[in-house]
Amino acid sequence: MKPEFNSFVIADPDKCIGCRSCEIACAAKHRKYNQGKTIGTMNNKVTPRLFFVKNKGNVMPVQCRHCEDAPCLNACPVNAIVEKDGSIIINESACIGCQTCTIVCPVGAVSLLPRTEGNVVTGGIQVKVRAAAYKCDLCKEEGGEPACVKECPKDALRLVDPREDKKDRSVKAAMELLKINANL
Amino acid sequence: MKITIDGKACEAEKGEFILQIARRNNIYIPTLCHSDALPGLASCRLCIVKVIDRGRAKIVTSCIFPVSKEVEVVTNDDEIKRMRKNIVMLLKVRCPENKEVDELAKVFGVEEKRVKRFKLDPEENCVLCGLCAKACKELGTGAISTVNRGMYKEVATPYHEPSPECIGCASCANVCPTNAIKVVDKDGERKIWGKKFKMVKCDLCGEYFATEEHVKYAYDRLGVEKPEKLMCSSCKKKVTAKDIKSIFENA
Repeated sequence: MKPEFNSFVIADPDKCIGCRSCEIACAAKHRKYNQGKTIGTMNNKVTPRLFFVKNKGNVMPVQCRHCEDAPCLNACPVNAIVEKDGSIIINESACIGCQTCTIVCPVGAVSLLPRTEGNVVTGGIQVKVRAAAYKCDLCKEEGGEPACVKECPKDALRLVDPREDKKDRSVKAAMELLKINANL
Repeated sequence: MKITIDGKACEAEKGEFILQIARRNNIYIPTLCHSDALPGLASCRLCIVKVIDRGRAKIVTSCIFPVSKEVEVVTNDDEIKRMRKNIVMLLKVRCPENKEVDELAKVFGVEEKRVKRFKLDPEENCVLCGLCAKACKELGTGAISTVNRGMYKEVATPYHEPSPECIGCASCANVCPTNAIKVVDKDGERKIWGKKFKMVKCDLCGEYFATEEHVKYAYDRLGVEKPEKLMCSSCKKKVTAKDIKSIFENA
Protein backbone atom coordinates (compact mmCIF):
# COMPACT_ATOMS: atom_id res chain seq x y z
CA MET A 1 0.00 0.00 0.00
CA LYS A 2 1.58 3.24 -1.15
CA PRO A 3 1.22 6.13 1.29
CA GLU A 4 -0.49 9.17 -0.19
CA PHE A 5 1.29 12.48 0.14
CA ASN A 6 -0.86 15.59 0.24
CA SER A 7 -0.21 18.49 -2.12
CA PHE A 8 0.62 21.93 -0.84
CA VAL A 9 1.67 25.35 -2.12
CA ILE A 10 5.20 26.60 -1.56
CA ALA A 11 6.89 29.89 -2.38
CA ASP A 12 10.29 30.27 -4.03
CA PRO A 13 12.15 32.71 -1.77
CA ASP A 14 14.42 33.86 -4.60
CA LYS A 15 11.49 34.97 -6.77
CA CYS A 16 9.26 36.59 -4.13
CA ILE A 17 9.34 40.39 -4.20
CA GLY A 18 7.11 40.89 -1.17
CA CYS A 19 4.17 42.52 -2.99
CA ARG A 20 1.55 40.54 -0.96
CA SER A 21 -0.73 40.02 -3.99
CA CYS A 22 -1.06 36.43 -2.81
CA GLU A 23 -2.65 37.53 0.47
CA ILE A 24 -5.18 39.81 -1.26
CA ALA A 25 -6.00 37.21 -3.90
CA CYS A 26 -6.56 34.62 -1.20
CA ALA A 27 -8.82 36.89 0.86
CA ALA A 28 -10.78 37.90 -2.23
CA LYS A 29 -11.36 34.34 -3.41
CA HIS A 30 -12.60 33.22 0.00
CA ARG A 31 -15.18 35.96 0.49
CA LYS A 32 -18.48 34.25 1.17
CA TYR A 33 -20.50 37.43 1.25
CA ASN A 34 -19.93 40.67 -0.66
CA GLN A 35 -19.12 38.85 -3.86
CA GLY A 36 -18.19 42.13 -5.50
CA LYS A 37 -15.93 42.45 -8.48
CA THR A 38 -13.35 44.86 -7.07
CA ILE A 39 -11.36 45.33 -3.88
CA GLY A 40 -13.39 48.46 -3.15
CA THR A 41 -16.45 46.34 -2.39
CA MET A 42 -14.68 44.32 0.31
CA ASN A 43 -16.21 46.01 3.35
CA ASN A 44 -15.34 43.26 5.78
CA LYS A 45 -11.93 42.39 7.16
CA VAL A 46 -9.31 41.08 4.75
CA THR A 47 -8.51 37.60 6.02
CA PRO A 48 -5.86 35.80 4.01
CA ARG A 49 -5.12 32.15 4.56
CA LEU A 50 -1.42 32.42 3.84
CA PHE A 51 0.84 34.70 5.79
CA PHE A 52 3.61 36.97 4.66
CA VAL A 53 6.90 36.82 6.59
CA LYS A 54 9.70 39.36 6.64
CA ASN A 55 13.09 38.03 7.70
CA LYS A 56 16.42 39.73 7.24
CA GLY A 57 17.28 39.30 3.55
CA ASN A 58 14.30 37.02 2.98
CA VAL A 59 10.63 37.77 2.31
CA MET A 60 8.05 35.18 1.40
CA PRO A 61 4.57 33.89 2.27
CA VAL A 62 4.17 30.86 4.52
CA GLN A 63 1.24 28.48 4.20
CA CYS A 64 -0.13 25.15 5.38
CA ARG A 65 1.70 21.94 4.43
CA HIS A 66 -1.42 19.74 4.67
CA CYS A 67 0.35 17.20 6.87
CA GLU A 68 -0.67 13.57 6.55
CA ASP A 69 -1.32 13.11 10.28
CA ALA A 70 -2.13 16.77 10.88
CA PRO A 71 -1.53 17.89 14.48
CA CYS A 72 -4.11 20.66 14.07
CA LEU A 73 -6.76 18.15 13.06
CA ASN A 74 -6.01 15.94 16.04
CA ALA A 75 -5.83 18.80 18.53
CA CYS A 76 -9.01 20.67 17.60
CA PRO A 77 -11.46 20.13 20.47
CA VAL A 78 -14.59 20.89 18.43
CA ASN A 79 -13.55 18.86 15.35
CA ALA A 80 -13.63 21.95 13.17
CA ILE A 81 -10.64 20.71 11.14
CA VAL A 82 -11.33 17.89 8.69
CA GLU A 83 -9.56 16.10 5.88
CA LYS A 84 -11.12 16.35 2.45
CA ASP A 85 -9.56 14.86 -0.72
CA GLY A 86 -6.05 14.96 0.65
CA SER A 87 -6.31 18.52 2.01
CA ILE A 88 -6.74 19.67 5.58
CA ILE A 89 -9.59 22.18 5.82
CA ILE A 90 -10.85 24.31 8.72
CA ASN A 91 -14.62 24.61 8.88
CA GLU A 92 -14.73 28.29 9.82
CA SER A 93 -18.30 28.23 11.07
CA ALA A 94 -17.40 25.56 13.62
CA CYS A 95 -14.28 27.25 15.00
CA ILE A 96 -14.57 28.83 18.47
CA GLY A 97 -11.17 30.50 18.39
CA CYS A 98 -9.57 28.52 21.22
CA GLN A 99 -6.08 28.70 19.57
CA THR A 100 -5.20 25.07 20.33
CA CYS A 101 -4.36 24.48 16.65
CA THR A 102 -2.01 27.48 16.52
CA ILE A 103 -0.07 26.05 19.48
CA VAL A 104 0.51 22.61 17.92
CA CYS A 105 1.15 23.57 14.28
CA PRO A 106 4.88 22.90 13.62
CA VAL A 107 5.04 25.41 10.76
CA GLY A 108 2.95 28.25 12.20
CA ALA A 109 0.56 28.02 9.27
CA VAL A 110 -2.60 28.72 11.30
CA SER A 111 -3.39 32.23 12.47
CA LEU A 112 -6.24 33.72 14.42
CA LEU A 113 -8.02 36.49 12.53
CA PRO A 114 -11.32 38.38 12.98
CA ARG A 115 -14.41 36.73 11.58
CA THR A 116 -17.76 38.31 10.78
CA GLU A 117 -20.78 36.06 10.57
CA GLY A 118 -23.34 36.92 7.95
CA ASN A 119 -23.33 39.86 5.64
CA VAL A 120 -21.79 43.12 6.79
CA VAL A 121 -24.62 45.58 6.30
CA THR A 122 -23.71 49.24 5.97
CA GLY A 123 -25.62 51.06 8.69
CA GLY A 124 -26.28 47.77 10.42
CA ILE A 125 -25.26 46.92 13.93
CA GLN A 126 -21.55 46.54 14.66
CA VAL A 127 -21.33 43.29 16.60
CA LYS A 128 -18.27 42.41 18.64
CA VAL A 129 -15.61 40.94 16.39
CA ARG A 130 -14.83 37.33 17.20
CA ALA A 131 -11.62 35.60 16.20
CA ALA A 132 -11.43 32.32 14.31
CA ALA A 133 -8.56 30.23 12.96
CA TYR A 134 -7.58 30.57 9.29
CA LYS A 135 -5.19 28.57 7.14
CA CYS A 136 -4.66 27.57 3.53
CA ASP A 137 -7.26 25.16 2.14
CA LEU A 138 -5.81 24.88 -1.40
CA CYS A 139 -8.98 26.68 -2.58
CA LYS A 140 -10.72 23.30 -2.39
CA GLU A 141 -14.13 24.74 -1.46
CA GLU A 142 -14.02 27.45 -4.10
CA GLY A 143 -12.59 25.18 -6.78
CA GLY A 144 -10.04 25.85 -9.48
CA GLU A 145 -6.37 26.67 -9.28
CA PRO A 146 -5.21 28.13 -5.94
CA ALA A 147 -5.70 31.90 -6.18
CA CYS A 148 -2.25 32.77 -4.83
CA VAL A 149 -0.49 30.61 -7.43
CA LYS A 150 -2.55 32.22 -10.18
CA GLU A 151 -2.07 35.83 -9.06
CA CYS A 152 1.63 35.93 -8.15
CA PRO A 153 3.22 38.41 -10.58
CA LYS A 154 6.59 36.69 -10.37
CA ASP A 155 5.29 33.06 -10.50
CA ALA A 156 7.00 32.50 -7.17
CA LEU A 157 4.25 30.19 -5.86
CA ARG A 158 3.64 26.71 -7.10
CA LEU A 159 1.44 23.77 -6.19
CA VAL A 160 3.68 20.87 -5.22
CA ASP A 161 2.71 17.23 -5.62
CA PRO A 162 5.46 15.52 -3.58
CA ARG A 163 5.38 12.28 -5.57
CA GLU A 164 5.58 13.98 -9.00
CA ASP A 165 8.26 16.35 -7.73
CA LYS A 166 10.41 13.52 -6.48
CA LYS A 167 9.95 11.59 -9.73
CA ASP A 168 11.01 14.67 -11.71
CA ARG A 169 14.12 15.07 -9.60
CA SER A 170 15.03 11.38 -9.92
CA VAL A 171 14.66 11.61 -13.69
CA LYS A 172 16.81 14.74 -13.76
CA ALA A 173 19.50 13.05 -11.65
CA ALA A 174 19.48 10.03 -13.95
CA MET A 175 19.88 12.28 -17.02
CA GLU A 176 22.86 14.00 -15.38
CA LEU A 177 24.47 10.62 -14.83
CA LEU A 178 23.83 9.78 -18.48
CA LYS A 179 25.63 12.96 -19.53
CA ILE A 180 28.59 12.21 -17.26
CA ASN A 181 28.85 8.65 -18.53
CA ALA A 182 28.66 9.83 -22.15
CA ASN A 183 31.71 12.05 -21.65
CA LEU A 184 33.86 9.30 -20.13
CA MET B 1 -38.52 23.84 -1.48
CA LYS B 2 -39.10 27.57 -1.52
CA ILE B 3 -39.98 29.91 1.30
CA THR B 4 -40.74 33.63 1.08
CA ILE B 5 -38.79 36.01 3.28
CA ASP B 6 -39.90 39.65 3.13
CA GLY B 7 -41.45 38.99 -0.24
CA LYS B 8 -38.32 37.39 -1.68
CA ALA B 9 -38.49 33.74 -2.75
CA CYS B 10 -35.62 31.73 -1.26
CA GLU B 11 -34.48 28.17 -1.85
CA ALA B 12 -34.46 26.10 1.32
CA GLU B 13 -33.73 22.55 2.38
CA LYS B 14 -36.21 20.90 4.73
CA GLY B 15 -35.03 21.37 8.32
CA GLU B 16 -32.86 24.42 7.61
CA PHE B 17 -33.11 27.32 10.03
CA ILE B 18 -34.64 30.58 8.84
CA LEU B 19 -31.57 32.57 9.92
CA GLN B 20 -29.28 30.54 7.66
CA ILE B 21 -31.63 30.95 4.70
CA ALA B 22 -31.94 34.72 5.29
CA ARG B 23 -28.18 35.21 5.55
CA ARG B 24 -27.64 33.25 2.36
CA ASN B 25 -30.03 35.60 0.58
CA ASN B 26 -28.54 38.79 2.00
CA ILE B 27 -31.53 39.51 4.24
CA TYR B 28 -30.47 41.04 7.55
CA ILE B 29 -31.79 39.68 10.86
CA PRO B 30 -30.13 41.06 14.02
CA THR B 31 -28.67 38.53 16.46
CA LEU B 32 -26.78 38.67 19.74
CA CYS B 33 -26.40 35.17 21.16
CA HIS B 34 -26.04 33.38 17.83
CA SER B 35 -22.73 31.83 16.88
CA ASP B 36 -22.29 29.50 13.91
CA ALA B 37 -19.93 27.39 16.00
CA LEU B 38 -22.21 27.14 19.06
CA PRO B 39 -25.73 27.19 17.68
CA GLY B 40 -29.03 26.46 19.33
CA LEU B 41 -28.96 28.70 22.40
CA ALA B 42 -31.82 31.05 21.40
CA SER B 43 -31.50 32.97 24.65
CA CYS B 44 -31.43 36.61 23.46
CA ARG B 45 -34.63 36.46 21.33
CA LEU B 46 -33.35 39.27 19.13
CA CYS B 47 -33.68 37.25 15.92
CA ILE B 48 -37.48 36.89 16.17
CA VAL B 49 -39.45 36.87 12.94
CA LYS B 50 -43.07 36.34 12.05
CA VAL B 51 -43.98 33.07 10.34
CA ILE B 52 -47.32 33.07 8.51
CA ASP B 53 -48.71 29.60 7.94
CA ARG B 54 -52.25 28.90 6.71
CA GLY B 55 -53.35 32.42 7.58
CA ARG B 56 -52.08 32.30 11.17
CA ALA B 57 -49.02 34.23 12.26
CA LYS B 58 -46.64 33.22 15.01
CA ILE B 59 -43.47 34.79 16.38
CA VAL B 60 -40.46 32.47 16.43
CA THR B 61 -36.69 32.77 16.91
CA SER B 62 -35.23 32.37 13.43
CA CYS B 63 -31.96 30.88 14.67
CA ILE B 64 -33.59 27.58 15.70
CA PHE B 65 -36.85 27.46 13.71
CA PRO B 66 -36.58 24.71 11.08
CA VAL B 67 -38.65 25.11 7.92
CA SER B 68 -40.76 22.10 7.07
CA LYS B 69 -43.30 23.65 4.70
CA GLU B 70 -43.48 26.54 2.28
CA VAL B 71 -44.22 29.36 4.70
CA GLU B 72 -44.05 33.13 4.46
CA VAL B 73 -41.64 34.93 6.78
CA VAL B 74 -41.72 38.58 7.71
CA THR B 75 -38.60 39.94 9.41
CA ASN B 76 -39.26 43.61 9.87
CA ASP B 77 -42.86 44.77 10.15
CA ASP B 78 -44.07 47.22 12.82
CA GLU B 79 -45.02 44.52 15.31
CA ILE B 80 -41.57 42.86 15.12
CA LYS B 81 -39.87 46.24 15.32
CA ARG B 82 -41.81 47.04 18.49
CA MET B 83 -40.98 43.67 20.03
CA ARG B 84 -37.27 43.96 19.24
CA LYS B 85 -37.25 47.46 20.74
CA ASN B 86 -38.68 46.04 23.97
CA ILE B 87 -36.15 43.22 24.06
CA VAL B 88 -33.26 45.63 23.61
CA MET B 89 -34.79 47.94 26.22
CA LEU B 90 -34.71 45.07 28.73
CA LEU B 91 -31.11 44.26 27.76
CA LYS B 92 -30.19 47.91 28.35
CA VAL B 93 -31.86 47.76 31.77
CA ARG B 94 -29.62 44.82 32.66
CA CYS B 95 -26.40 46.29 31.20
CA PRO B 96 -26.84 50.07 31.10
CA GLU B 97 -23.20 50.90 30.41
CA ASN B 98 -22.17 48.14 28.04
CA LYS B 99 -20.83 49.30 24.68
CA GLU B 100 -22.39 46.59 22.51
CA VAL B 101 -25.81 46.85 24.16
CA ASP B 102 -25.59 50.61 23.80
CA GLU B 103 -25.05 50.26 20.05
CA LEU B 104 -28.10 48.02 19.81
CA ALA B 105 -30.18 50.47 21.84
CA LYS B 106 -29.20 53.33 19.55
CA VAL B 107 -30.09 51.36 16.40
CA PHE B 108 -33.46 50.23 17.76
CA GLY B 109 -34.35 53.65 19.15
CA VAL B 110 -34.78 52.68 22.81
CA GLU B 111 -35.99 55.61 24.91
CA GLU B 112 -33.98 56.54 28.02
CA LYS B 113 -37.06 57.17 30.13
CA ARG B 114 -38.23 53.57 29.70
CA VAL B 115 -34.83 52.32 30.85
CA LYS B 116 -34.66 54.65 33.84
CA ARG B 117 -37.83 53.14 35.37
CA PHE B 118 -35.75 50.33 36.86
CA LYS B 119 -32.88 50.10 39.30
CA LEU B 120 -29.73 49.84 37.19
CA ASP B 121 -26.42 48.08 37.90
CA PRO B 122 -23.75 49.94 35.93
CA GLU B 123 -21.15 47.20 36.55
CA GLU B 124 -23.12 44.47 34.80
CA ASN B 125 -21.94 43.40 31.35
CA CYS B 126 -23.22 39.85 31.06
CA VAL B 127 -26.51 39.24 29.23
CA LEU B 128 -26.64 35.55 30.27
CA CYS B 129 -26.64 34.30 26.70
CA GLY B 130 -24.78 31.12 27.68
CA LEU B 131 -22.21 31.17 24.85
CA CYS B 132 -19.22 31.08 27.21
CA ALA B 133 -20.54 28.08 29.15
CA LYS B 134 -21.26 26.25 25.90
CA ALA B 135 -17.80 27.01 24.49
CA CYS B 136 -16.12 25.73 27.65
CA LYS B 137 -18.22 22.58 27.50
CA GLU B 138 -17.31 21.98 23.83
CA LEU B 139 -13.64 22.29 24.72
CA GLY B 140 -14.06 19.44 27.16
CA THR B 141 -13.01 21.45 30.19
CA GLY B 142 -16.41 22.67 31.40
CA ALA B 143 -14.93 25.07 33.95
CA ILE B 144 -17.81 27.57 33.90
CA SER B 145 -21.57 27.24 33.70
CA THR B 146 -24.74 29.11 34.65
CA VAL B 147 -25.54 28.91 38.37
CA ASN B 148 -28.61 29.84 40.46
CA ARG B 149 -32.02 30.79 39.12
CA GLY B 150 -34.21 33.81 38.54
CA MET B 151 -32.65 37.17 39.26
CA TYR B 152 -29.67 35.51 40.95
CA LYS B 153 -28.68 33.62 37.80
CA GLU B 154 -25.10 34.19 36.73
CA VAL B 155 -22.17 32.52 34.95
CA ALA B 156 -19.46 31.33 37.32
CA THR B 157 -17.04 28.56 38.28
CA PRO B 158 -18.22 25.99 40.86
CA TYR B 159 -18.59 27.73 44.26
CA HIS B 160 -17.05 30.88 42.70
CA GLU B 161 -13.63 29.37 43.37
CA PRO B 162 -10.76 29.15 40.87
CA SER B 163 -11.59 26.07 38.82
CA PRO B 164 -9.05 23.25 38.46
CA GLU B 165 -10.53 22.55 35.01
CA CYS B 166 -9.93 26.03 33.62
CA ILE B 167 -6.94 26.11 31.25
CA GLY B 168 -6.94 29.85 30.65
CA CYS B 169 -7.52 29.60 26.90
CA ALA B 170 -9.92 32.60 26.95
CA SER B 171 -12.26 31.01 24.39
CA CYS B 172 -15.11 32.19 26.62
CA ALA B 173 -13.94 35.78 26.31
CA ASN B 174 -13.61 35.35 22.54
CA VAL B 175 -17.22 34.19 22.01
CA CYS B 176 -18.80 36.61 24.50
CA PRO B 177 -20.94 39.10 22.51
CA THR B 178 -20.68 41.86 25.13
CA ASN B 179 -17.04 41.58 26.26
CA ALA B 180 -18.22 40.68 29.74
CA ILE B 181 -15.35 38.33 30.65
CA LYS B 182 -12.22 39.94 32.00
CA VAL B 183 -8.89 38.52 30.91
CA VAL B 184 -5.82 40.31 32.24
CA ASP B 185 -2.40 39.42 30.77
CA LYS B 186 0.42 41.05 32.69
CA ASP B 187 4.08 40.23 33.26
CA GLY B 188 3.81 36.65 32.04
CA GLU B 189 0.74 35.96 34.14
CA ARG B 190 -2.90 35.64 33.04
CA LYS B 191 -5.83 36.22 35.38
CA ILE B 192 -9.26 34.92 34.36
CA TRP B 193 -12.25 33.71 36.43
CA GLY B 194 -10.26 34.41 39.59
CA LYS B 195 -7.47 32.01 38.62
CA LYS B 196 -3.86 32.96 37.99
CA PHE B 197 -1.96 31.24 35.17
CA LYS B 198 1.73 31.22 34.35
CA MET B 199 2.24 31.91 30.67
CA VAL B 200 4.70 30.26 28.32
CA LYS B 201 7.48 32.34 26.83
CA CYS B 202 8.37 32.10 23.15
CA ASP B 203 11.89 30.71 22.79
CA LEU B 204 12.78 33.20 20.04
CA CYS B 205 11.10 36.53 20.76
CA GLY B 206 10.34 36.20 24.46
CA GLU B 207 6.65 37.13 24.09
CA TYR B 208 4.14 35.32 26.28
CA PHE B 209 1.63 33.64 24.00
CA ALA B 210 -0.33 30.94 25.89
CA THR B 211 -0.82 29.54 29.39
CA GLU B 212 1.13 26.46 30.48
CA GLU B 213 -2.10 24.58 31.08
CA HIS B 214 -3.37 25.35 27.58
CA VAL B 215 -0.14 24.05 26.02
CA LYS B 216 -0.39 20.88 28.13
CA TYR B 217 -4.05 20.49 27.05
CA ALA B 218 -3.05 20.84 23.38
CA TYR B 219 -0.28 18.25 23.48
CA ASP B 220 -2.32 15.87 25.66
CA ARG B 221 -4.95 15.85 22.92
CA LEU B 222 -2.26 14.79 20.48
CA GLY B 223 -0.98 12.14 22.88
CA VAL B 224 2.62 13.36 22.63
CA GLU B 225 5.06 15.03 25.00
CA LYS B 226 5.21 18.78 24.68
CA PRO B 227 8.48 19.90 23.07
CA GLU B 228 11.26 21.47 25.13
CA LYS B 229 11.31 24.75 23.27
CA LEU B 230 8.04 26.42 22.31
CA MET B 231 7.62 29.24 19.81
CA CYS B 232 4.84 31.70 19.22
CA SER B 233 2.98 31.56 15.88
CA SER B 234 4.86 34.54 14.37
CA CYS B 235 8.28 33.09 15.17
CA LYS B 236 7.26 29.69 13.81
CA LYS B 237 6.42 31.40 10.51
CA LYS B 238 9.79 33.19 10.49
CA VAL B 239 11.68 29.94 11.13
CA THR B 240 9.69 28.19 8.39
CA ALA B 241 10.59 30.92 5.89
CA LYS B 242 14.26 30.68 6.89
CA ASP B 243 14.20 26.89 6.50
CA ILE B 244 12.66 27.09 3.04
CA LYS B 245 15.29 29.64 1.98
CA SER B 246 18.14 27.40 3.14
CA ILE B 247 16.57 24.40 1.36
CA PHE B 248 16.38 26.34 -1.90
CA GLU B 249 19.94 27.56 -1.49
CA ASN B 250 21.31 24.08 -0.94
CA ALA B 251 19.28 22.47 -3.73
